[in-house]
Amino acid sequence: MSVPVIEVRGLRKLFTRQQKPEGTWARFKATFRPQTISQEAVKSLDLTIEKGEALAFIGPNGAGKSTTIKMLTGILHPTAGEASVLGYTPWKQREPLAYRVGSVFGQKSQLWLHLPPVDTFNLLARIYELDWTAYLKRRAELVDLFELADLIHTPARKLSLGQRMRCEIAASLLHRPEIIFLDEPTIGLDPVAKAAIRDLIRRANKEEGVTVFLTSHDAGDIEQLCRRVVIINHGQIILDDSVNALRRDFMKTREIDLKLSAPFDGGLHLPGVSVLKAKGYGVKIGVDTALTPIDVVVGEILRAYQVQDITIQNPPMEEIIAAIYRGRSEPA
Amino acid sequence: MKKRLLKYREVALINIRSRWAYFWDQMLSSWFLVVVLFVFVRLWKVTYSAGGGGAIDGYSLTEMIWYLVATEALVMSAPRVHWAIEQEVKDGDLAIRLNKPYSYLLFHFSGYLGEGIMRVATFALVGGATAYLLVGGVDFNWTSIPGLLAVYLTTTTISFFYSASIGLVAFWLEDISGLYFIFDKLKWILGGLLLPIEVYPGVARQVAEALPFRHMIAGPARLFVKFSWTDAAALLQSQLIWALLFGLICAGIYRLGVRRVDLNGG
Repeated sequence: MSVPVIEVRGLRKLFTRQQKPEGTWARFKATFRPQTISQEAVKSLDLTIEKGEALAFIGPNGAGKSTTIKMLTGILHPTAGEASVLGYTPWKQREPLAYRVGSVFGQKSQLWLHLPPVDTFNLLARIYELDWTAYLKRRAELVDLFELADLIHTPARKLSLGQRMRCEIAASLLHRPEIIFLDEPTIGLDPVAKAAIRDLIRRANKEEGVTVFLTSHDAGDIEQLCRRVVIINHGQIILDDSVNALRRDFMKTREIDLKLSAPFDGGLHLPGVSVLKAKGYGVKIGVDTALTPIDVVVGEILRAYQVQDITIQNPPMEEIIAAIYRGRSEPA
Repeated sequence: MKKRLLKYREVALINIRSRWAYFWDQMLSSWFLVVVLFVFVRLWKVTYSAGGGGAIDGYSLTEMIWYLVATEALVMSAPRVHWAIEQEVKDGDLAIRLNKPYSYLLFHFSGYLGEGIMRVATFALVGGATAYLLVGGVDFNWTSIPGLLAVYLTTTTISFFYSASIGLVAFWLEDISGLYFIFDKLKWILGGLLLPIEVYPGVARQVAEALPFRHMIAGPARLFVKFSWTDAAALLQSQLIWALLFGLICAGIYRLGVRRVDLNGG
């Protein structure tokens, strides 16, 4: 039986911003009569998330993803609407809720930079009021799972971004949260570190049953981690579907960047494959995977050319959103 | 209850450890106190010799210099909690503070206490050694230590609420540095940073005695050089009243401000 852990109805957040007019006199006048504008970051959001789900909450910059997470963790008070997270109203019951959820903000660190992560872990154990013996056991589990043995005694500022993020996620899982909010956890990471972080999130979801609420504008995070995807744009949900459906309908294209050992001769003739750009040894190829699967295209490239470097990219979020809007306006 | 207290103790301890990581930097920065004391010893020696060498309003030269050691150690060691709060509001780091099960103000208070203890110990050590070399030791009663520690705790509590209240204004103003500058200097002047309140002329003395600032500087410093249990009890009593009042003001500003948090964006 499905158990909803997050229920949101008509959630709205309006920010008021002060405008700084151009020109010295106008700026002087604005000191005494400030001009403000309102910006609706989240517009009447409705959402239900079941226990154990891995949900990708995605959208371009400024879409309202982080604002939504901050309302659901009780950091921001909404302008209107209701939300229940594990039965709590986040902005009214922030403290009791905090014992049962975890959060990771990709651009903010909860680690004490001048101290080794183990000190932050110990602090968090006290903050979450964990039984010390149980905490030590849990820490050992996470150190093992996240391969942190060599890292937890090194000052956090000396760790790489990927290593730090592994410690951040481990820190957020110490108190065995039922829901983990991850706000762009792979931002700025290299592909290897991204893969490691995705693997850890997947294991937390699958092995420990943690409900994952993930925001990202990296389409790879969605495809590899989540079963359900909610796309938000300008503060509104524009798509709520399975990742499989998203992949089938709106993520059909891939871009392949190649660096060859010899100049590209243009000889790649497969259905749905087009050369987007070719200059000297470098070539960018667009692939419609509905017509030719990506593995077939890569196989053909490797057979026909000597490849020095290859990168396969998902379509950018802006393109997926444009495709969703196009899909809606076009007749079926 | 015990677990609740343990979390704040751990916050204080992690702040001590974090400061300890910069022990030598801090020792180096405390050399400014050596310069201040050197200058003031020169000035006071001239003043005292012009007045015939007797006490000024009950303070001998040695007591006056040790009073200065105490006030400077208290002021210079105060952690910049107003700045930390302002940065958290400005940079959005409030998000990683507010998502934990603790009181935001108690979290900062524990940190303030932990960092403050480390810093005041350094300044007291450097300042005390300098004063001892320049003017000799003050008549210190070692049995007064528990009383002085209790007063240090209440002094730190008032100072925290005072600075944190200014920092929390960042929920409304973009930059609180101007506001802090005014309130900080007000505290210095009316709190008796450079001179004991007893030395102030007529009305100025009455004003300084009526206001809370002396409880953050002059009161504990005077007790350090002229300790008596009666004075300690009287000071503690009035400090507790001011701590309660400042605490209520600070909590009120926080409650109003946290509803206005405006951390949009990633």
